Amino acid sequence: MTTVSKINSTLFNQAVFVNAFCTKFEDWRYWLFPLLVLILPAFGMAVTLSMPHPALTAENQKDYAEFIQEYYTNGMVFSFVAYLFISDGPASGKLIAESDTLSLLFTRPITRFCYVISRYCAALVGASLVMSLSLLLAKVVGLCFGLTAIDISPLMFLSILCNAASWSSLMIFLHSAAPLLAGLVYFILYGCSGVGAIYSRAEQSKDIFLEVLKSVCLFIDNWFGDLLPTSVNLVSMASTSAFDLYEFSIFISNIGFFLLLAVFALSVREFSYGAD
Amino acid sequence: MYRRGKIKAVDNASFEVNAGEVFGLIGPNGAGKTTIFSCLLALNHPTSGEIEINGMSPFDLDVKPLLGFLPERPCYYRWMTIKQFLSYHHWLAGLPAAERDSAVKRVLSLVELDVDIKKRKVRELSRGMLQRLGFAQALIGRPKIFFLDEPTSGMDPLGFILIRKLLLQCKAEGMTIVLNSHHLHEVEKVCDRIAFIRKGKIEEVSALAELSQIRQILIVSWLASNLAVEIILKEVSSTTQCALIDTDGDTAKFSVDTNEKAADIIAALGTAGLRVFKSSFEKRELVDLFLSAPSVESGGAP
Repeated sequence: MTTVSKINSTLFNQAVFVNAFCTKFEDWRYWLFPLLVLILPAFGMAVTLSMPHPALTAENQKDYAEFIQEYYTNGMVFSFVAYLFISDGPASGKLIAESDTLSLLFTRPITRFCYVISRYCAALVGASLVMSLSLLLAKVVGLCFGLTAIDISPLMFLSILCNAASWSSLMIFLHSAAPLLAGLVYFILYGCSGVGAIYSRAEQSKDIFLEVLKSVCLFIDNWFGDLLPTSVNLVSMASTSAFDLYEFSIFISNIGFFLLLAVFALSVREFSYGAD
Repeated sequence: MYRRGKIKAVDNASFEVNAGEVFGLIGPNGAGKTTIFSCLLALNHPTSGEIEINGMSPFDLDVKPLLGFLPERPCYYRWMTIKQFLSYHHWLAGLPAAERDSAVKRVLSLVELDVDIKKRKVRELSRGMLQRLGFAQALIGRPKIFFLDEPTSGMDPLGFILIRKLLLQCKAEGMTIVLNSHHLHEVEKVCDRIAFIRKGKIEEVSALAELSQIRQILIVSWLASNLAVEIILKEVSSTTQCALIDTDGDTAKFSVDTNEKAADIIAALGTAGLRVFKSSFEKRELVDLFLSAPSVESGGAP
């Protein structure tokens, strides 16, 4: 019994999970944001399809379906939903409120590792659930308008799960690190992943400074750009002749990387409960 | 020691708290009291030195169930109802779910927080009520060691009395209490020992009983006399080894640390020919002692 409770308090904490996953949703106002995410594709489709439009052919059915699918691989959408589960900020009427509440929480028998894992699981399950329900709703609305091409295969739901895992890992890191540091790391990684790509397309310049800058950016992009979480679409990956195992392994390792980073950031983080 | 950059928030602070005692940390703002608490609660990592609570590191998970903590600033989940908040902390403390409701009722009755706990949200509570809620939260796991940072902060006089009553009750139950407070009168009423902290350094750790002895002032009055009063007073001060603080011709003030010394002074004055008709003690409060320290007089901590 003691061992069980010890494992419970070191690996996964039910109280933290339940608090992140459902307690704050007892306030109906907190449902507004997840509901918005949930109904947005179905609502958009209903509005579009209810207007006069050409007959649904196989071709434009495919276009509609692809457009809908993009929503379920969109990093911003997943990040937003994960944030709603991970953070207590919106419920407290603030963007970030954890510095306050965490100081009291860590006087309880719970490890910081356990906190990260429990909150991550809440975000993973929560984001997957909201997005899966959203997909099902889109499918139902689509069927009402004769749109049958929306994919609700197990691979699609698996994609949602993977993307929730990926973007939740980034959000749990942002939640665990000191807010300023977290923001800085995020934007540096985001910048690294984009700047290199831009420079790689730039033409050869005569300006040595610009060339050096380009080399630096490409170097950063090569080494650090891949660290930013990405989205996967297993449906399209599976439909290609060769499954890109390398890309998928980077995707998986990113999740692990951000979880480790989150645990590390929270472990070294100090909390001040007194005057700011 | 706890150091960040050039600032040493806590420097060479060393003290022990005995089981079952009430230990007070007092000092001016910015003295390092809260940082010491943060280190004791494993919220901050000390730069050097060791902390042991019940023979364990404060980072040890086994030590946490022994602790109860009331923060200075209410940092609670504002969106929770009172019941949710206390139940959550009961759950976090790893206590059995079957006891949860009764534990919540017990602590709420202790702190006399009489509101609709199922509907009232934490964000709707006044400062004083939040303090009571914090007290209830700290008590919920029946802790053995209780850390209180400014327990009476934001409370009305009734709250003051309640907190004092609760502290004495906890003390009677054998709980070890470490508190820091600016309300020195409150500290005086509940603490067994106190530590004076300034600029991150513990200047003195004293039992309150000892302090109450050294800070007594004996005031003696005698009938008008033609004797050389000043010479007599100096002699009496010298023979009894009690400092003469002040005199105005027919009254004198001596600093005394025991009742025996007071009796010696009165007897010596009589022997010297002064007819003492009145003597009394003037009690110096903890606040006087605190303010009379050189570092406070020169501006206190940064």
